[in-house]
Amino acid sequence: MSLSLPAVTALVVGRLETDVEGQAVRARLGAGAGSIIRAEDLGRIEVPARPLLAYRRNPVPTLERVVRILTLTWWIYDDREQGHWRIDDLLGEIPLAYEARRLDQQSGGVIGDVAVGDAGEQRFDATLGLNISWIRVYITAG
Amino acid sequence: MSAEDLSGIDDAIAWLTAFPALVPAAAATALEGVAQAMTNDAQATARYQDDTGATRASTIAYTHDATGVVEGAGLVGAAYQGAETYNGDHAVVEEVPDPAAPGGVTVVLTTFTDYTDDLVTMQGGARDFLGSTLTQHAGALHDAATRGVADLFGGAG
Repeated sequence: MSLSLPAVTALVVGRLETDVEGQAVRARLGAGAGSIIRAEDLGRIEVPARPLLAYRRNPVPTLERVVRILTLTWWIYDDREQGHWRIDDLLGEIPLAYEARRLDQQSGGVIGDVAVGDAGEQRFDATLGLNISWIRVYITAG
Repeated sequence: MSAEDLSGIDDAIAWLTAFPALVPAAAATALEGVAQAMTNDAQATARYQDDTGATRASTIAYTHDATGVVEGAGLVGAAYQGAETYNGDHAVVEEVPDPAAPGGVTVVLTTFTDYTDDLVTMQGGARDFLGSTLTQHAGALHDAATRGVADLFGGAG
């Protein structure tokens, strides 16, 4: 069964932005849910309080218009003077939010496995002047 | 020779003996076509600033196995020269990674610049043209490898 891109994306983001299971993640952000933005807005709007999360849904491979896997990257930014310790804490906390309860799809396909991993290396984004790392969420159709 | 050409037990034994070496060769041949398409798409991107032309000129996808670059070694050299010509201070020769498995074939998509990693990560992946190209062609890579091996069996598959 094909996954609904907007519906599943909203679920994945909502887990950290609004769900109770994402509360521990929000508590580690500079301005709670206000520090969660779309990656497309980086460089276009004022960067919210750090640490911040920026999400981007990755390109989706399709076969005959059927979406069987969807991946979303959480980009984690923090001020350079903070080093990477707060980013590392978030890298550990984010998977727990997804493990706490299955994503419950109301419409647009059945969600199967949810995996969180592929944490990125410690890098510096010279464009934004912030430290950065990332972690990916993998959703497969049930 | 494919499986359907076998005419006797000696042929079959010879074919089975050679089979482990035939598989990566067949896959590599099929993957080469996809690699060329990946190169074309990655070079056509508008996702990065293209200040010097070095990134575009040095973008290439190629296949390699345990013996080195399977085909297009000259193209790899030309890609490096592209970076050297347009932005020599940032041209680097990347090490060819080992194949994923012994006897395996790897498709590499890269550029020969020292800022490739930054392009992939900066601004939350806003300029990542490599990841999107890989995803776009993931299905074609899988199909090509499968088709190449299936051809060894006379095209079944």
